[in-house]
Order: sequence, then structure tokens, then C-alpha cells
Amino acid sequence: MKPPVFDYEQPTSLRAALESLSRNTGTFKLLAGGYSLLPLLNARTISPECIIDISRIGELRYVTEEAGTIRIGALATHDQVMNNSAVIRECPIVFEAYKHVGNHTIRNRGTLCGSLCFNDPTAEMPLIMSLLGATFVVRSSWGSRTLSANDFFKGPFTNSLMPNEMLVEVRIPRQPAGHGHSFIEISQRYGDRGLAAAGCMLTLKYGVVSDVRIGFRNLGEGLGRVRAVEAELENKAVNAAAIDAASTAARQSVRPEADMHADAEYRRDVAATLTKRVIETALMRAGQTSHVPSFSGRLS
Amino acid sequence: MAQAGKIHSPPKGRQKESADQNLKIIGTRMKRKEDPRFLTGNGRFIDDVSLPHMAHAAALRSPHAHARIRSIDKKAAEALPGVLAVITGEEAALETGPLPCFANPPVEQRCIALGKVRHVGEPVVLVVAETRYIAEDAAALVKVEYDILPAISDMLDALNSSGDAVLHPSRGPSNIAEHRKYTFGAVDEEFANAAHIVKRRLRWARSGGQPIETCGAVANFDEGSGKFTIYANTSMYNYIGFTIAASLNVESHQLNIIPMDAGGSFGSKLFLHKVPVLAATAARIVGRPVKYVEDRVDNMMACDNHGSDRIYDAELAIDSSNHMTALRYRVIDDYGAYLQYGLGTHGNGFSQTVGPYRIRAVGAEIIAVLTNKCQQGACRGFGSEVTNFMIERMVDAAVSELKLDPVQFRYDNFIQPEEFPYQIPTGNLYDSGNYPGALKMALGMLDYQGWRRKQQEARAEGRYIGIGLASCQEKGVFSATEFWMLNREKGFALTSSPESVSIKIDTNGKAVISLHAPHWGNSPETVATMVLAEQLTLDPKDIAITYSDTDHGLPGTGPGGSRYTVMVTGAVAGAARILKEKLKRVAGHMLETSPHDLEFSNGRVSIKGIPGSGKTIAEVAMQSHMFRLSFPDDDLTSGLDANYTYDHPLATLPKSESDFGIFYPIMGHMCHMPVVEVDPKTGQVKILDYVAVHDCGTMINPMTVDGHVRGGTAQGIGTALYEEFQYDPNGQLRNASFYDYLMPRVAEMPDKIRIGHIITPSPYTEYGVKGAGEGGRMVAPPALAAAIEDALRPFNVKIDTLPATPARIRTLVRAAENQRG
Repeated sequence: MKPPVFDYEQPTSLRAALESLSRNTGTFKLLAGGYSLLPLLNARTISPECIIDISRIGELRYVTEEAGTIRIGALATHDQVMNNSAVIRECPIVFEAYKHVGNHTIRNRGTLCGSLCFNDPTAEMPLIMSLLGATFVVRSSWGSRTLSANDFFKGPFTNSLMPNEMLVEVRIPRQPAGHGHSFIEISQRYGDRGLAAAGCMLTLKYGVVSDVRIGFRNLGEGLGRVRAVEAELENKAVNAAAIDAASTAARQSVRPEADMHADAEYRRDVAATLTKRVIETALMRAGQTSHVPSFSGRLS
Repeated sequence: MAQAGKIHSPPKGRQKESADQNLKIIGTRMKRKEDPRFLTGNGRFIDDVSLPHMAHAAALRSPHAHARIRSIDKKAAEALPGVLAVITGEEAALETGPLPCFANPPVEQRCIALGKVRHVGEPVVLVVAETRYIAEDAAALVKVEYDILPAISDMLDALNSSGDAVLHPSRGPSNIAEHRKYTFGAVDEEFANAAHIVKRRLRWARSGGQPIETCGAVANFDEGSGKFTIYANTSMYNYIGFTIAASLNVESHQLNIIPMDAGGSFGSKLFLHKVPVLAATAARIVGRPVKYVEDRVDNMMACDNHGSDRIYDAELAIDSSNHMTALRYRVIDDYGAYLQYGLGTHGNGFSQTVGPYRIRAVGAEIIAVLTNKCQQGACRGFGSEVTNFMIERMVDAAVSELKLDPVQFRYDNFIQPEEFPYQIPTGNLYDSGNYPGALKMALGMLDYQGWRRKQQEARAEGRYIGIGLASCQEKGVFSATEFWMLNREKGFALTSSPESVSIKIDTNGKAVISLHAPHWGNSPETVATMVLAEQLTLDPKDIAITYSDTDHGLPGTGPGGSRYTVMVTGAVAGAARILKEKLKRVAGHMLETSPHDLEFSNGRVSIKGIPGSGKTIAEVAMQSHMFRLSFPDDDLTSGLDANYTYDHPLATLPKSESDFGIFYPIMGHMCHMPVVEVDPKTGQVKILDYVAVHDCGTMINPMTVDGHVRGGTAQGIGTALYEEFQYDPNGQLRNASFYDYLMPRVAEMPDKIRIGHIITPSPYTEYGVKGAGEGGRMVAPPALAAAIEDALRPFNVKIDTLPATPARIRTLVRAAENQRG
């Protein structure tokens, strides 16, 4: 289990990294935390001609808040993001979902942007960024563009970056005050790739729900937010029938596939259960002034 | 035919050290002798071996489950700079023969596939190069053309496959390797008279030990002497290591195997043959030392040690007073592509096939099939863990169908404490036990009634808590007969399974114990040290341990079959007797007194009844080593050393096909009671509490026993809930990585496994010690299955298939929900 031969570059500035991307005409991969890339390399599942190691570009390792927008640099680790006070305060669903991302060792080295680019269908953060309405700042030597989650993510393990482009920053806009949130994932073991996951954010005013955002992970290709499920609740009074309708809509909307851990029917079935549970929990939390979560997992 | 019941004139044993004596060191929680070196990173594992001019090997694995090798083009690989050799099966076979096999007629296996590949991951080519990197680069350049053959992945398909789908046509036109029927006692009569018959189909999935360190070997071939030296992390090298010499076509004295610390085994390194033979074959061809260490994929696909993979159709006969009278089953076992231990795993199961119960008759039909998968080997329990699962599931099925109490039913059916030694219908003997006592202790420790109340309260809140109970046997100390007694033609019918130690007390009175089997991740150094310290009243700090290679090895069978502590204890006690005699003789001369008037106390050879008198062992040792002329000119020799070989404490030959004699009599027992909560909507299981009561007789060190219990239970939790090698219909192993082969990690373990010990010493072993290495895994699976079933009682589901994954549990609950509408 040794990697094949590859060239190795280690730019130390963003400019140098982008130049390296423009210059490289063969196959290459960016190395940030390496938690997904290196096992694939060692198993020879991929054999890029060149590895561009961007892990030394200190200028990209930041999480800041400016005018209500949280900006996360390409090399910010999961741990940095998870434990950032602005993130915890403004978008507690991030913290809740992060409890399911690997374990502390992985979060200590793995990067948010690396995980977003890799877009493993079981990864939690692509869904969370979709729910939060995050935007993706993409740069090349030629210029930059900003994409929505919908435009950034493609199918499993793919994104819409051009070969000479790099995701340099993710921006999370200000979230609705007092929104409720919930993220639930079913995995066989703590920190495993999930069998299925669901997330929900919503705002509750005078018994009416609005700004409903519901989405799934590992329940079908291209599923970020699922409008058909959201529509069952949007601008409606909260009651059991509405939640059941959303749950039924989820069962009908997901397009899960079977794998060695669970069949498609199981996933479709738990999609309905998860939908019900995330809505109920988000409703319970909505309107509360403080969202600072306590960590209930046994490992951090 | 063996009559089940108490044996009224029990066989006399050879026990010399009884359990009821005042012991100072045995029974204490002494810290492990092994810990300082392992915990400070100073263990020496196979990958730590580096010899001058050593080359590195990598295997090209078969991508196909079943295919003929049409051609191998190795030109590009050979042309890569740094490549020393690209070895095909045909080239290897020029000097290296088939691998060892206990089945008879044997099933031929080669270290590199010869002509045909029979499972994915089987080595097709071995590349030797200056570095492992280059070897893997070169392996990727080898072009192999295959003619694909039909792959047998489902064991039921193996029952009636023919033609090209037959894996080993030379052994017959079918993939049924063995089909054997056994009757112990009046099975038909008992079933005809039964008041109730309970039937179940049970499925036990294939899993396997997952050592962090894979199998490996570093081999060197000395052309001058024609001798191989192989460093390896195998066991049994001083037992059946000569069969590796036979594979390599050299004399047994032309092979020296040097043991390394094993980074985990769980059975899977019981007897490695393919890996050492691969390294040795390569070393002979390139004329340099060669290291071959499996990578994770090699290990998971081709370690030759997957565990049992069975479908049981079982029936239990119960009389009108709710006593179990007979058990009969038909079992199909998917052995994979080869059959190295024959039906040994079923022979093993016959040692305790009635569990702790007074079942009078057993009928067994065993169908062993060959499929295109990695072959079975040893995995903690060696097949008896599946027997336990079957028995306990049948007991629970009876309890549930007859609406009985699971506790009372067991009390009513247990072999009682006064009935030992007890003969079971297969002929094996249970030496001692207290099964009701273990159950009672578990109920008390768990607060069974308290949990039953909490279960009811939780139900009212819509939560599903379940309490599991399993009472199982842990057979200890194998006799070798199980390896061949189920063979059609018995073949090499060995009957020895000895263990030796060599002990030297040096000039300064410090002791060195040589073990003749490797360190396997258990605590043999601690055990040997404590027993010798007890015997000689030495300070454990004054005792060191070494491991002998085959050149210096005495008969040593090694760890496995929950035997090692029993056997090392017997061997050390035996060697200590020899040493004590000589120490007394020398001290007698020094003190001018009779050796009969001397005893050992506080590190001294002292006058009986006068502590502090006499001489220290160090003083006697100095005289013994350095001052021969101080002693009479008789047959006394210089130095203090002893070899002792301890044979199986109680075993007999098989008498017939319905009486296998005594072959696994040192009988441990465990009662596990887990409490789980199941989410019926998602199928997730959380363990809320866990009580484990074990009986392994006298404990040398209760702390290391606790470690065995917890580790074994963890593995049992894995077997029950997570672990399964999944082959697709084409024979591709879908989860040959730790991404997808799921083992419990610390977060999946209960917060605490609460351990209780009940002690019924063996009357046959030194100090009454029994085995303890496998018990946890041999009971946790049925205990957890019972707990899940109990939690989901309102849905009336049956947990008949392991592992009980969320998807499997939810599917059962959904079917029940749909049925109710």
C-alpha cells in the first residue's frame, strides 16, 4: 500500500499555488489535510502526476467574521471552524453536524474546504453549507468567481471547479435570528460515514413556520435542499399533520441507493423518520435566544 | 456411545499443585511484565526487522474470484530499475511445494497461485525489489490474462455446482468438501418422545480477527548450509513448523523460525504458512534476505484466517417438564477456497455442543463447502463461538415459544455443581463448574429486577430497552484430535499438544525463563513470572523472559484454544520442581543438612519452619555455578537449569464416530447480561449496561483475565453488531478496508463492562487454572441477540442473523409493523 510515483510541489503563497495550477497541464491533486487524498493515493485508486501541497499557505488558514458574514479560508481545519465562537453563536447547526465528522484527530488536520471539494456523498458539510446558504469563492490566476452551493456541488465526488481553479474561501451569510436547527445522522459507529443524514433550519413566528430549509445526505445524487419537503411546512401552522406530510414528502423525494451497509428501502424509510425528528427538534429550539450547544458526544 | 451424565469413577489427573493452598503471588493483580516495553514503544514487530541487503516483496493480488491464468507478461515489470525478481506460481513451484493442510484428503494450496486463482486477493505474482515502493510499482506493470471461471459466492450454490465451477476438481467433482453425519445418544428417540420441538434457521456471518499488525516474514537463505532463517509473527513454529520446511523442500533442521512480537492475532496468526513460505521462496530465488509484510488489503482478502460462516437448521427437543433432552442440527459451513484445518472448527464445537445444559443426545449433519473466498482459519472461539450462538438462540427460542422465564428455564436445565466431572454425549468431559452460581451472580450484579422495572417504565415512554442473557461454555486446552477426528480418512492423526519452558537460574540467583512459543498479545511473561515467583519465592523483578526459536525450541504448541496460561503454568511448575530439588541438594551441602529438611521462603532455601534461616537462592546459585569443588565428587553438576515439557493434562483418544473421548475438558463458563436500547425506527442499538461473569478456575492474575474478558467481549460486540466480510455474487470482497469492515471502537463499547468471577478450579490442571482467552467473544453475540430481541418483544421479531445491523433490525421491525397494519 504505497503510492505510485508523483511529482510534488509545495507553494507557500496563494499566488504561487494558483500559478502552479495554471502551469500544470497533467493530472494533479491539491493536498490540504490529506485525510481523503492520501488513502486514495496509497491504495492507488488515483494516480495523479503531481501533488500540489497547499498546506503551508498560512494566509488561507483563517475563520473570521465581518459584518455578519463568516469567512472561512481554504486551509481552516474542521476543528477551527467547529470551535469558532462566531460559528457556534450564529450557526449552531455547524457544531451539531461536526460531531459526526470523523473524530478529533481527523478534525484537527482535515479542512472544511477540502471536504467540500471532495464532496463525498456521506460528508456532512456540503449539506450544512447548502442549508446555510453559503457561497464559494473560487480563484484562478485569471480572476475569481463566487458560486452558490447549488452551483458548486455536482454529483458525488465532483464539483464545478475548473482545473486551474481553487476554492479559496467559503462565506456564510448572517442567519435568521432565533432560527431553530437540527442535524441527525445515522451511522453504525460514532464518526462513521453516515448511512443517512438530515438537517433542518426554520424560523417560527406566532405558530407559523417560515424560511424552512431541509436537506439530506447520502440519500440520492444531487440532493441538497429538498423543496418538496420544505414546501409542506413553509408558511404553515405547525401541527402533526404538516410534519407527517413533510415526512411523507421526504420518503417520496429521496432517491437512495443500496450499498453494503444498508439497502435503499431502509434509507428511504429512515429519511421519513429523520425528517420528522429534525423538524420536531428544530421547532423545539426555534425562538430560543441562546443556541450555544453543549457537547453531548462522548468523544471530541 | 458416550452416556451423558456425572462420571462416577473420574479419570485420575496429574495435578501436583492443588488449588486449595496458600498462594502469595498467584491471584494478585501484579502489573504486566510486558507493559514497560510495549507501552514505551519498544516491542519488536516483524516490520522492525531489517537485515543487511534486505529486499522487499509485494504480491500482485488476483482481481478475480475464480479464473485460469492463461498468461503472465512480466517484461515491463522486470525492466523497472530496482526490480530483482518477478516470481510466478510456476517459478515458485520449481522448488517450493504445497502449503501445509490438515484436511485429509488434503486441499492443495500454493503460496503463489498455480494455474488457477480461487479467490480475490490470492497472490498471482510476487515481485521482489530494492524497496516496497518499487515492488508495488512493478506489480502494477505485470500483465496477466485470465480465463474467467464461474465464481461460487453463495454457500447454497456450492451445494450443487459442477464443471468449471468446481474449485478443486482433483478432489472430486463437487464443491462439497465434506459431508458428515454424527449421532451422539438416542437422538431420534428423544425427538419422538419430545413434548415440544423448537426449530430455527440461524445465520452466522463470516468475520475475522483484525490485528493492527498484519502477517509478515523476513527470510534469509544461506546457500552454504542450505538453511533458511525466517523471522515471522506466527505461532506454532515449535509444534508444526516442520511442515513449513516440508513446503520449502528442506530438512527440518534447515529451517530456523525466529518469533517476533505479534501486534494482535485473535487467532488469525495461529499458524502462518503462506507468508513465511512466500518470503523464503523469494529469498532463495534472489539470494538476499526478503521482507514480505501483508498490507491491509492482502490481510483482509488473503490472510487464510477468516472465521466461521454458517447456516444452521436446528431443532431442540423439550420434554413435558420443560427439560431439554436433545439437539439436532444441519449446518452448512462456507470454508472458502481451501481447507487447512479440515473440519477442525466443528470438531472443536463437539467439545461443548450441549452448552452448560443436561441435553442427553445430539445429532449433527455437517456440510463443508468450498467457495471462491479467503479460506477459514482460526478466529477466537475456533467455531465453538458459533455453536454457543446456536445453542443459546435455541434456548431463547424455546423460552419464547413456550412462554417460559429465561432465568428459570436455565436453572432447570443446567448441569448441577455436584455433577462434575460430567460427560457430554460426544464423549468430552467437563471438569468442573457452577453454572447456577454464575447466573445468580450475574443477576445480582446487574440488578435484574431493577432493569426489568426500568424496561417497563421506558416502554411507557415509547422507548425499547432489552435485557439479554447468555450462559455459555469456554472450552479450554485443546487436544490435537479435533484437527483430524472428523476427517473421512484420518490422515496424520497427531495426539500431542505439549508446552515447554526452559528455566535457568544464573550465577547471581536471577532467573531467565525461555518460552517456546511467541508473544501473541496476551500475558505469558506475566503468567510465567508469577508462577515461578510463587514456586521459588523469588521477587518477580528477578525473573526475565526470553523466547526460543526453532533451533533451540522444545515442544511448544503456543497460544490458542484458551490453553496457554494453563500450559505455561504446568510447564513452569514442572521445571520449578526440578530446580527446587537441585537448589535443596546444593543448599543441603552448604548447610550440612538433609534436603528433606529444607523449604523455600522469601527467596531463601531455609530450614523448615525457621524463616530467615538457611541461604538465599542467590547464595546457593553462586555456589552451584562457581564453586564445584566445594561439593562432593558425586553426580552433582554445575549450574541451575531445567527444561520441562508439560503435556495435555487430561485427554484420551477418540473411541468411535459417536464417542470422541476427552479432548477439551478444562471447561470455563460465562454468563453475560447486556442491557440495550433499540431505536425501532432506525434499528440502532445502544448498550446501556453490561455484566460479564466468568469462571476460568483459579486466576493467575485477575487483572489480565479482566483484560481478556473485556477484549473478548469487545470482539463479541463486533461480531454481534458490526463485523461481516461481504462478498458480492461475483466473489468480490466489498469491504476489504477499515472504512467498510466495521469493528467496534471505544465509542461503541459500553461505558463499563462490569466483571464478576466465579471460581471452580479444575481438578486436572496445576493450581486449578482454566482458559480465559476466548470466552468474551464466545458469549457476547448470543447475549446481545437476546437483548435486542427482548427490547423488540412488542414487535415479536427474531434475531436469527448476525450481525444485527441497523438495516437488518429495522427491516424486521417494519415487517412486523406492516403485518399489524
